Amino acid sequence: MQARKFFVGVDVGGTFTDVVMAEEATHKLYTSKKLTTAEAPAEGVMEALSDAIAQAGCGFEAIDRAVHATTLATNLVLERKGSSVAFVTTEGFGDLLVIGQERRPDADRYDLFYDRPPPLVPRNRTIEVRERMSPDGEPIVALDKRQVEAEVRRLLASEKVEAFAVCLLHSYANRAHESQVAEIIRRCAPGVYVAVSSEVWPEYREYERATTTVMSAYVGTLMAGYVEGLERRLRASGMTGSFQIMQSNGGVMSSAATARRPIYSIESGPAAGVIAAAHLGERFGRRNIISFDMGGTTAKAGLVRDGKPAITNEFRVGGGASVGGRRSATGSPIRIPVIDLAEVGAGGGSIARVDAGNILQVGPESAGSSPGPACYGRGGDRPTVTDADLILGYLNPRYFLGGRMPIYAEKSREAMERHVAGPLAMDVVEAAAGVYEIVNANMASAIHMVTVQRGIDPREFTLVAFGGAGPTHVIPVAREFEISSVIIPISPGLTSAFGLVMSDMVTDHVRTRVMDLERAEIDEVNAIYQELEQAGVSEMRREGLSASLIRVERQADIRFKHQSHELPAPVGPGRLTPQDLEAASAAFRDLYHELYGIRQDAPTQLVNFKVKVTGSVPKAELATVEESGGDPARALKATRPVYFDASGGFTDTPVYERGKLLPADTWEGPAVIEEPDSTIIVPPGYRATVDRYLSVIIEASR
Amino acid sequence: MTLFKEPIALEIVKNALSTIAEEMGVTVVRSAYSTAVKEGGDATSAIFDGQGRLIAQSTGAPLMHLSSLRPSLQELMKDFPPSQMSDGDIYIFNDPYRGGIHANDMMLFKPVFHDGRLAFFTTALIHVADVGGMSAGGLPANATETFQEGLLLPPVKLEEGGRPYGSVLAIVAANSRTPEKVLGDIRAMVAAVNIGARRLVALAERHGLDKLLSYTNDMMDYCEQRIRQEIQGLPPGVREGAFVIDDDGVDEGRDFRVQVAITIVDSSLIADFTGTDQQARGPINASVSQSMSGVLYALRCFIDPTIPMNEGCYRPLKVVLPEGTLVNPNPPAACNARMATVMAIIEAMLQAFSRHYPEAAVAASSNVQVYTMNGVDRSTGKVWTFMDSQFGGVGARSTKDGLDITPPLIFSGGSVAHTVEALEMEYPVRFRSYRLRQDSGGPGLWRGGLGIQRDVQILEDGQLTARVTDRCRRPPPGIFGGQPGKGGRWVVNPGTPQEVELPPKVTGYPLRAGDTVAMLTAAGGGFGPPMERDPRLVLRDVLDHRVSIEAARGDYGVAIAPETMTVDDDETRRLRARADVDGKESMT
Repeated sequence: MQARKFFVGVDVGGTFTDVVMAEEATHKLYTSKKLTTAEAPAEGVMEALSDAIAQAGCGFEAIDRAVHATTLATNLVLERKGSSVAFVTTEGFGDLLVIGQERRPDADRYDLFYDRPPPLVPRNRTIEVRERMSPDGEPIVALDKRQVEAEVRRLLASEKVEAFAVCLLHSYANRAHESQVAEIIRRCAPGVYVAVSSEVWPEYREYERATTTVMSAYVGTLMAGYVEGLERRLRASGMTGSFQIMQSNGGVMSSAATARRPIYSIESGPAAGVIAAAHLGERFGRRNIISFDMGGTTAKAGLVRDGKPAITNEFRVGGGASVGGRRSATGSPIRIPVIDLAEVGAGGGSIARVDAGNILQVGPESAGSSPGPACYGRGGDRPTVTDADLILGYLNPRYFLGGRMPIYAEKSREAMERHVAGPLAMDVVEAAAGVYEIVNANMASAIHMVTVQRGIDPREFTLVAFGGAGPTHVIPVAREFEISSVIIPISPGLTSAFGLVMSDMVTDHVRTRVMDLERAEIDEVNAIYQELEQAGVSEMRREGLSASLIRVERQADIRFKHQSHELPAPVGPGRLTPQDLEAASAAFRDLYHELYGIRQDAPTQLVNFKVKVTGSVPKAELATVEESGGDPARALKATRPVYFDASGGFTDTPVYERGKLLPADTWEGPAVIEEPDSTIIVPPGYRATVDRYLSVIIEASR
Repeated sequence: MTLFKEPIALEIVKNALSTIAEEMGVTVVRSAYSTAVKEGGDATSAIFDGQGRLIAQSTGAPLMHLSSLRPSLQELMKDFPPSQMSDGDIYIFNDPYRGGIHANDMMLFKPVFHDGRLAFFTTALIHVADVGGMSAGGLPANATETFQEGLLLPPVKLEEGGRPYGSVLAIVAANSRTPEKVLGDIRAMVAAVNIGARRLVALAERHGLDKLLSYTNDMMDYCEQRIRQEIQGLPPGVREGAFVIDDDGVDEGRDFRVQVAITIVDSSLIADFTGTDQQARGPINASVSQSMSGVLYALRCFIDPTIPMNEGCYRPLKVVLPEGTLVNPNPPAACNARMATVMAIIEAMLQAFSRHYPEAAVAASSNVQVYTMNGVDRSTGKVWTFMDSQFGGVGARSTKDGLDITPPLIFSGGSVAHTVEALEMEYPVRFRSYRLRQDSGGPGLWRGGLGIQRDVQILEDGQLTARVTDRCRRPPPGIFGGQPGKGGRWVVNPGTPQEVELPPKVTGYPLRAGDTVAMLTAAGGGFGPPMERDPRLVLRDVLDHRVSIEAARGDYGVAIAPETMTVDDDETRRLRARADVDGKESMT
């Protein structure tokens, strides 16, 4: 008999550390959910992992591939606990990090006492070096190496420096000066972490490139240390399989590659949810997916088109739950590719309140897990979305965490009465229904952001709903956009962790070179793509992948001349001809039309050249169940009154145990489907179907 | 407080409408051509009902645009009564004497029909690229008539039945030095009003138009009530404030005074600008809509800022703007540099409020500083021009220092730093430095925020049009014993034998290839006596390059040993004791 083999996803979130273990041969899943140990995350990881391993009845040596998503990098930035970084830049621009954040958040525009967070690097750890490049990469002023060395040594003598970030003007066009500076630093301070902008992400716009580089240095040493430490423990426990880290672009890389480019691990947890939705969609035969992840404090929406998750380069670390993030001035920008997510402050813990003008509002303030919703009985006396769900009969007070958590339903009613129903002179149920409706509308705006605002018609998409609260709220949200099909995968509370073991290896590369399309130097374009591809492919080869497993995708960021916002257009493979560039430009015009509804015939410019290299690796598969049901009566466990708008109030509604459903079970709503970490609500007028992966599919009845 | 019939539907519709306004705003910014819009986010969009009452506007909008679309729409409806409007029409105009701001701020209006009934207007306003006038890119600092500021458009039809109508675009293009840019800007606004219209029709279909309009009426009442509640929370009575502007770009060395009396009676606020100086010959005059924007901004600093903006917000306000003055000029006064007056309105109002709330006092801040460079591309013969606007420091507050280089007050949330790399890629210029301006912050117990120095070298022959909008000869004053911040300046070829100090406002100044222009922006005033500032904070400022060792000694009486970079306590005590004696002697 062959040895058992497992794929393991480990997702460390703010509240829980989730582990999903998928057995390669049987596709059987073993899962564990433990509280995150914020001070020493590796403890929680080992605990949850050991639990899952015990359930599987194997040892660490059975792990073939472990993929880890961590919020460590994000937390270091949010809590300002990163390394002490020195910043090196071109003479005359030493205040770049202070000046660049000139803009203040829209929400604080009337606050005369507003203060912005200080930059990650104080001015006295900044070095200005004598040098200058032109936008074409011509050295205008040669690098004064003696001055660089003198300044670096002076700084090392007077300040504690744990890492350096180097960002010189126009280094995307010529990295020579940056490389020389890095070399001098490495000579003066052997072993110190050095992040160089032309290596991290060589795209134009000095402030964003600088913050991306500084952030790399800020989290670099600690992130590398954490990953190495965790890997040591896994190895010591007997794991011999590969150990990989989830990245913000939706792919994974080896722990060694992550130590080299730690910034890519920022925001990787939420990215895993979208990847899971994309891969599950693939299995379900759907390539256009909206992922909808609703947890305790926020809801996130992501987009998958033609099997590919949408990517943004405009992410801001520490920007908080914000609408789109695009025009918000909070946080620090990083330019690396990040899975595009719209996030709103709406979750099970969101607090409902009546404002001074007698309008009901829900969130973004959250009761979190402590004190939590009123019904937790932990001292929270303000009504939350979870309390509303309980009042409306959507949640079962005796089945929280499968019945392991005591719930005080009367506290929900009290809080709703005192803070919402009373002030608005309505009854408690009406108030709870209002909370449910408003929070759903708020979450719909996240979906609006990633679809309608990008010129995309959501009706053609399938909604994949997960997160603890997602399945309870998804149908009204889907209805808002006339989305006809909703899928709820198995164990929706662990979907993100499952996404980890469905991910491929991905590495992204960029180079800015602005040229008018009509005067584009095709040889130069080919040379740039070749160089970028070589970098990406050799990285994959270093990971031990053979050529047949490596896939290369090219993009060009194109804009209309004189505009400053580029859009990415696909570019074909092989040696390019001017016609290929014309085709990319035409694709850009179509994309522009899709986004803004106008066609322009203005001349275009090529701005950034981009390459994404994907390495295919063995992935977890979903188990299929061959047995077939039809009538879900075997899973019926109770009947209870549940509130539905369409029925004009409470209706006696059958409640099913999800674990007892079988493929081909089909029945009409209203219905409630319960499992330990989530509850699915099927309103009247909808039909539920179970597929062979045991996903529940909800569609409007004809 | 009223209970609304459907408080839940109201909240949902309110959010749906602001999402639409926001989507329109995003559309303009991302598809516009003008530098001010694409890099600075200088764009506004808003939704009005069929009667022209404001329902919602984009949140990222520049606050000075706040009050322009509203009166302009009323003027549009005078020339084109709604009965003559049809589905698919779009109108354009920019007349500052009919609600507009100045020539470059173009506005678009699209009537939105549902079942043949005029239901809404979607509107957009952006600072477009060049539309003619005496200086490339607009904003002539020495204009004395609005005719010199660029092409003026009365309300005219731009599109009919969804197609370009008449020759308006051709006229605009013929009057622009950069026609493809300005047409691109207008197309961006067309895209925005069209998207807004589509979304509104869908919303009306969903809720029924009558129902939807009853919600928007409730929303106006809601905002009115919220503003009234907040005004009631302010101390009643009359308070006065004033602010002096240092020149108008034409009559050099002359002061201009903005004077306000704020009266709070019950739930209403009266802002009376009687006593404000007559209109200026230069372009610092603020059209009515701009003065209103200033008043509204200052008020919102003292009330709950989360109250959304709609028609109801204007109802509790009475604003007296005497005709023929800086705050309500008669045509054809020039008004492109109106931010001098708008900011004076705000500072005067803050001063009035701080009389009652010393704990909320703020010293004066910088104003915007703008230049345009232009030349002719030798290879193509085409005119190139770019505009770069920068800010300085914000005034010190009663409990903390002012912010360095931040768009102050009404500018806040607006402009972002233009990236040096993008500008150098596109224009024949090279930036030599972009730094905080050391020692510029007004000394005080709390220090004013710093301005910047931005040195830009022109690589071909060209021209400079520049202006410091105020606060140059009279730098931003300090309060309660704080010193003023440094004023704004322009210097050509600084630190060389060819150094030339330019006046605060110049138009068409010739530059030779290789010349460097230094832009030095003003800094915030200080709060309280500088000799009382904590020496440790002075040391921190020295370490951060904000204050020099010399200024630490001279302005703050703090001695810092350069070898160890520590405070010399004994010497500091001596310096401060002497300053105390000197201060007393000079008082006698």
